[in-house]
Amino acid sequence: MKKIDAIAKNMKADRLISITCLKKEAGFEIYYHFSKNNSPDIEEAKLEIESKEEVESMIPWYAHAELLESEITEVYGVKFVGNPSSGKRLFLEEK
Amino acid sequence: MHKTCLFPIGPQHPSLKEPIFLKLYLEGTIVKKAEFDLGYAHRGVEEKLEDKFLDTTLHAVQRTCGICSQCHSLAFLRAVEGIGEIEIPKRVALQRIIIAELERIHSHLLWTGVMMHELGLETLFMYFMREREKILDAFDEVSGNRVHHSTDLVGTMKRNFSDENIELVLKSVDGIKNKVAEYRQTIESHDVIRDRCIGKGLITNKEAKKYGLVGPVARASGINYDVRVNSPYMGYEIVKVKPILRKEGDAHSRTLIRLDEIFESIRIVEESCSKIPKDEKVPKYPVKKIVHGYGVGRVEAPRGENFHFVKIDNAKTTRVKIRTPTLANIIMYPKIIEKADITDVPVIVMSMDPCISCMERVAVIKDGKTEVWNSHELSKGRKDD
Repeated sequence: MKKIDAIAKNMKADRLISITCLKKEAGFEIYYHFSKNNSPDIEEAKLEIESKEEVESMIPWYAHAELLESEITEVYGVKFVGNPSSGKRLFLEEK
Repeated sequence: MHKTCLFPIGPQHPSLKEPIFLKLYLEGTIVKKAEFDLGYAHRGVEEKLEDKFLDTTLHAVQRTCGICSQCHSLAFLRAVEGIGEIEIPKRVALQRIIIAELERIHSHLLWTGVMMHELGLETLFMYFMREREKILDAFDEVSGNRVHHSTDLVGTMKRNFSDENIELVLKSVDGIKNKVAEYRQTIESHDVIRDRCIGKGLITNKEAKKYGLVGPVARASGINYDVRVNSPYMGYEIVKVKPILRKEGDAHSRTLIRLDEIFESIRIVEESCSKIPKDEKVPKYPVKKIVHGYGVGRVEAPRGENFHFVKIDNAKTTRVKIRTPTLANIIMYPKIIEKADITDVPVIVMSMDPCISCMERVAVIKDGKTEVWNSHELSKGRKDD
């Protein structure tokens, strides 16, 4: 599992804006974008993972990461360890 | 001893203007637990934006939402123009924010009207719809479209606003001022509205911070955050915005904050119109070819911060991620509905101003035929035979 505590702690951001997943030839790139109240800029952190590698969830630091991660799990199959939604929130369930 | 029963609301329900399925577990009339199901309006927007030239992508991005078309256009352009290091002239910057602020006014008028409908005040609903028509007429005049204005191009705009256009815009916003002020006073003091809204759907400042809420929902809980103020862009570098804040965090404060934002938007439109340089014209398209790179852009949509991630390879967009304000705020729904009375649920849900179609971005239109893809097919990027 890819740990992300370093990203979460070092960023010292006020808010997580979004999580974006990009598919690469082998694996994925995950971009975290953060906002700080005293800065007009968007802070960015990038994580590179292999195809079946799992990633630690951002929920302990930013509670609203739940739906953002869940969407990535649904579309790309990337699993976030510690996310209770486990990819079943944004699309209708398959019958 | 009360027995818990499941009370479903939606996905199609008179109290919801867009499809969302709320599962409420009741004890008597009190909601003990709330869950929601999404996915009834997915259209595959992000997937369809892959491998498209920038002008095609921009055209599609502007149609992500039927209410806040301009805010998607501006977030996308903020990212793309950042990648291409394009500086936009003053006229373009101001024309863009005139459309953006008119959009905020029409969105808030629409929302307040629907909120009044939820409260059973149909006359006020009709009054707000009547005022909104004046703003839609202004859109028609400057862009030729009442809903999807689509006035922007990368680095420029499709046309210069004429003096007659500006005059009609100013007449439209001036025409709603007194009426909206009168309706605001009614909403602030009306006993039925106060009883149904004050203390309902409470979000504390701490909760708003913890869940990263955005827009009027966050500002009604005392979060001083507005992208136009914290990270000024385009015309907001020229025309400064005064943020509007409240502390109560309930449905009533969320209503009043949107009404107050209408007046601030009217002021911004008036100031922007007065500052448009008459001797300047919008640049000819294309301004610059953008071949590679990635960037991000965020703007303050009527519902809050709207974020776009854009990656360009060989002059085509290979990935566009859109994080709409409703996606940031929807996590609060179960939390504010729990412990509420069932009769208050429509008011509480509506006070968050959800835009479900805008949030659900992923049916796919292929060769003019609409197909509905399931999540498994979407993850593979193709439909099963």
